[in-house]
Amino acid sequence: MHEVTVAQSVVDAVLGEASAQGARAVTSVTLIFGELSLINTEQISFWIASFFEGSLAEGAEILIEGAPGKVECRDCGAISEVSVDPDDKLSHYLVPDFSCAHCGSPHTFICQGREMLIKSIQITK
Amino acid sequence: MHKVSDVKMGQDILRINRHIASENRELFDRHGITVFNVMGAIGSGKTCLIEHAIEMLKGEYRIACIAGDVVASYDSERMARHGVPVIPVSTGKECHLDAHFVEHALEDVDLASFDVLFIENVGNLICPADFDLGEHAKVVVVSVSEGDDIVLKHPVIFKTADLTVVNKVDIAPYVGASAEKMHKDAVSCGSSSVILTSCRKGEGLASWVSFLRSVIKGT
Ligand SMILES: Nc1nc2c(ncn2[C@@H]2O[C@H](COP(=O)(O)OP(=O)(O)OP(=O)(O)O)[C@@H](O)[C@H]2O)c(=O)[nH]1
Ligand SMILES: [Mg+2]
Ligand SMILES: [Zn+2]
Repeated sequence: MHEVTVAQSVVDAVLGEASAQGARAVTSVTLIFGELSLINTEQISFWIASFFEGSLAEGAEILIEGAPGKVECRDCGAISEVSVDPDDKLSHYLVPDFSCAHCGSPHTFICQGREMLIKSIQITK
Repeated sequence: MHKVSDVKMGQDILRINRHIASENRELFDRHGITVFNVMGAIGSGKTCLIEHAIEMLKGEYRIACIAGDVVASYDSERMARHGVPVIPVSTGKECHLDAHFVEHALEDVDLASFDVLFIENVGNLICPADFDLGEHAKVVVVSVSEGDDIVLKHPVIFKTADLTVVNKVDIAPYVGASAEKMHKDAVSCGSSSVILTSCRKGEGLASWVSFLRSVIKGT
């Protein structure tokens, strides 16, 4: 349930930026959640929308983009995408493959896909 | 007509946590303290493993603990019985520790008074994984009674683990789980190393302590 904590950070940052810009209203918020971040995007949209109620961002559209998981190889240095099971509708990596697609080494680390970013907001003045 | 404009932010949502975590890490490094973030499933044996570690290492190192839990006093009393200082951090409804909790826990502590810090995180295989605390090594504990599919259900936390401990191997036959399968799954998820233990029978505890020693020596 850290969706609530993360949602609160998003709301604080968005409202802070909006008032710094002298906005009358926030009409949309675009977020990026890496596909390996442990956030349920439906849940977080719900919480952000409910925290926005009564603020100048009430009713803002919440757009969420993904970023594919990538690993960097400690042996050969190649960067490869973490393969996702196309049948995995929940986009949970039930059978993940973190090995290097280039040399097959299991000695990799996640270099993309765990990020959580506020990409942009749209405001009216 | 109101003017509509797009404002680029590119702001890292976990920026504040990341920032505090790196401050924590700098503080630990300055005081020569090695820090273990012990995460894992509820009831998997995190406190038991820390208790064993204290007993086996307290002759060589000065140890302190942070007991993080929704209600921290139970675990904190267990650790304190081994004669080390323990800071309880009750998270209330929060499902994980974050760097800010750790920063506050250390406010009134003399950092020159210990060399090794064990942080027991809230039992949970999801939320703690997204929050760096400023530790030097991440340990993830699971036990056979969670069922031997548990590792594959939570690949990311095992991928980021410096050590995976599969505990309670003594009861594997009674719960019909294969500790070897869990070992294999943790390796295939990319956990840097994996050990099998039984806090009850003592099996694997030597490997547990030798992992801890190797991290302490390396920091
Ligand atoms: N049979 C057996 N029982 C164990 C073992 N390790 C721990 N236990 C028991 O499992 C229970 C939970 O152990 P704890 O050390 O409290 O587990 P924990 O992960 O700290 O639990 P929480 O902090 O509540 O998430 C206790 O009753 C322990 O005695 C083991 O290796 N074998
Ligand atoms: Mg415990
Ligand atoms: Zn490679």
